[in-house]
Amino acid sequence: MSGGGLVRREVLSAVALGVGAIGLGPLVGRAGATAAHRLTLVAEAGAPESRRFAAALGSGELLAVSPAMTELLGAIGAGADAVIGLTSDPAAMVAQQLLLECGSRPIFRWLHRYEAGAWHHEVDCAAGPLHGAGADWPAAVAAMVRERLGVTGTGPASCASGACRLARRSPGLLVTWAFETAQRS
Amino acid sequence: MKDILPEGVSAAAFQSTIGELRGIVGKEWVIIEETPLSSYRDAYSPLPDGTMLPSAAVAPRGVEQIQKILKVANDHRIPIWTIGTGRNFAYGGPAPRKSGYIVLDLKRMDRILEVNEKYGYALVEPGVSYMQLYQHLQKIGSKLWIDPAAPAWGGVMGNALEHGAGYTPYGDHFVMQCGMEVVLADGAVVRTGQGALEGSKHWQVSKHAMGPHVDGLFTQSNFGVVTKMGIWLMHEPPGYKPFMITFPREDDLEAIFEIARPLKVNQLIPNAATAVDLLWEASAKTTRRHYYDGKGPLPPSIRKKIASDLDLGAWNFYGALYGPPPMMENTWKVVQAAFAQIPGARFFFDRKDDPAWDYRVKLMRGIPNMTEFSIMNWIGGGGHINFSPISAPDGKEALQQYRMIEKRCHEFGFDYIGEFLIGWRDMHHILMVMFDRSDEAQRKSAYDLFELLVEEAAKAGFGEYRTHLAFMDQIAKTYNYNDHALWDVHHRIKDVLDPNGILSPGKMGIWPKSARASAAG
Repeated sequence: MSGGGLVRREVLSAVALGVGAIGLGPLVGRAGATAAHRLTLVAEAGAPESRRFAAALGSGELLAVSPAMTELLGAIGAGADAVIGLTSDPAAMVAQQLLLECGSRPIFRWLHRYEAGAWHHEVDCAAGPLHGAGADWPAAVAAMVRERLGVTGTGPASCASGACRLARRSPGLLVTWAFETAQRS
Repeated sequence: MKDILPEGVSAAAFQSTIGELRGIVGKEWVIIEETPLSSYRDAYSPLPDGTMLPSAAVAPRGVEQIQKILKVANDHRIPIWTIGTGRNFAYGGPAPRKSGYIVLDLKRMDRILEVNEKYGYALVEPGVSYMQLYQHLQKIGSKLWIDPAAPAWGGVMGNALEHGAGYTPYGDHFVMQCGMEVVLADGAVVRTGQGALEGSKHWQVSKHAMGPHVDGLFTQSNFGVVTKMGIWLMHEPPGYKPFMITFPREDDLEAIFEIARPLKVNQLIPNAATAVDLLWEASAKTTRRHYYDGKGPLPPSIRKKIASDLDLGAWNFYGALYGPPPMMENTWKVVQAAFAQIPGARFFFDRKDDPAWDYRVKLMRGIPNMTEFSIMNWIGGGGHINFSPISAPDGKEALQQYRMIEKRCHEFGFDYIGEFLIGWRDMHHILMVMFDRSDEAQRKSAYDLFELLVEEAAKAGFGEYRTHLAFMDQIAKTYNYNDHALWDVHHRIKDVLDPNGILSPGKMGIWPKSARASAAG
């Protein structure tokens, strides 16, 4: 039975979904508690933060997305256990709509917004690595994602601090998101 | 958690309905779980949370299953909301008009039934997207072009049924539609035009047949479920010459359309050309926060800097010529001489590192893409609705409409972000009201602005051609000639074709008899 308790902004906007509520457990259980999951990593060529995140995460099969975003219209996440991205808000919207339609389940959604000369982050876990990360915050987010999903790989757990300007090509508002894909037989 | 049910339907009756639907399409294709069902919501709505939420969705594979589903809906008086494969969130996406409806999702009916190279058409089912049709034509080596709407995931059929537009010479999609198959509420299957003649080979060739032309009744309506549709496709021309002309002043809009009108009406510019404002163009390349931290509309000095930095005009006119190169070159001389009369007009045939140019050049030659979504980066937060009034291709009228809308946008704290699409005898003005959906005050302002614009536009004689779910009733009431005689006709037809009112109640302000009194309130 469908419920009215889950409002739309919890699905596509806010940060309220916790691991236990949406099934990271089964994701971890699917491949074993510590084994590497089959990941699809979505990276937007036009967004510097997205590229940095992908480089720092260093795991998964890369799905490079051009400004036309048509790459998302293929079988996104096919054959993967999870799909992850740090992308512009529109790219996140397109990806999430398609993933929900094919039965995938959201794991988390974090917002990163540039305002008044600094990046502000809304996450649903300890944000320690983000403090002082400055312009290299996508690498810090990658570290948080690795910890959250138990992804294997090496990368910086924290980032250098420093002045933080908005990159010329930055979308200014980005979303880190992850979906557990529908089980395929 | 509180269950969502169709209005007036008990939980037991609903469960029984779900069971019957599962028996028709299989358990996998009746969706009632929260997370997958959330894909049928409008996450970018100008309404508060908790509105327009479906109770379930059912995805049939073919006409026979649709007939059975309609019988169940009639038996239990369950309202269903039909969608194809499109997700135009500017108009409400896949969400139903009211909470509790069961979404009839036709995405599994995604066959391209025929491509006719000789006559230039395709016959498609509702689940076929622009990208799918494009890729299919590429795969079979076809020399036919499609005419996609801006988002590549849009539905070929759905967009035509909603009177949507594209950017090639075949840009008026309902004009390019030819022949339909429709399942009526009682399960009867009807084919329109020449398709009504058993064995006809001309279903997708001619719109004309004996008797009334009824295809339009099944567009922007709730009189039936369209299951097949013919769409005309353009043969690849021997040449293609896209161009962009920038104009420095906002008031140039008047001269632009005085010049464009004869060029369009006489088909010297054959495609659905567009005049795009500075910020729509800029938003494909940068964001507001790169230039301005303040609230409210951008100051003129900032607009000037953006135009200078990005080499844009206050208006940016996109068009294209098609045909043999010598003909295009001759035509171009006429087009250029005409627009060069506007002081400061600048002509472009290529632009480096410009995603806005890139995606419009693709759209005008029928290559689908999703780039236009990137304009949502302008303020971030994704909320958007389109206000879409019609006007004549007349300079004074366009400028009047623009100034009226711009003034209200600024009063409500929004930038004007819009474009005009020029058809043969009309213009679609698309205002993109963008808001951060996590900002409740901004969401409310967007709603209030839209509501006011509908009233003011109607008073000035401008009607909208299409709208978001939230404003369908309001806009329907603006079509008020002779005490709303046209909607009275719609309602009479509705009562005859769908007496139980199961099909998309409230679509475009057309309600079944049982709901009309409450809807009018």
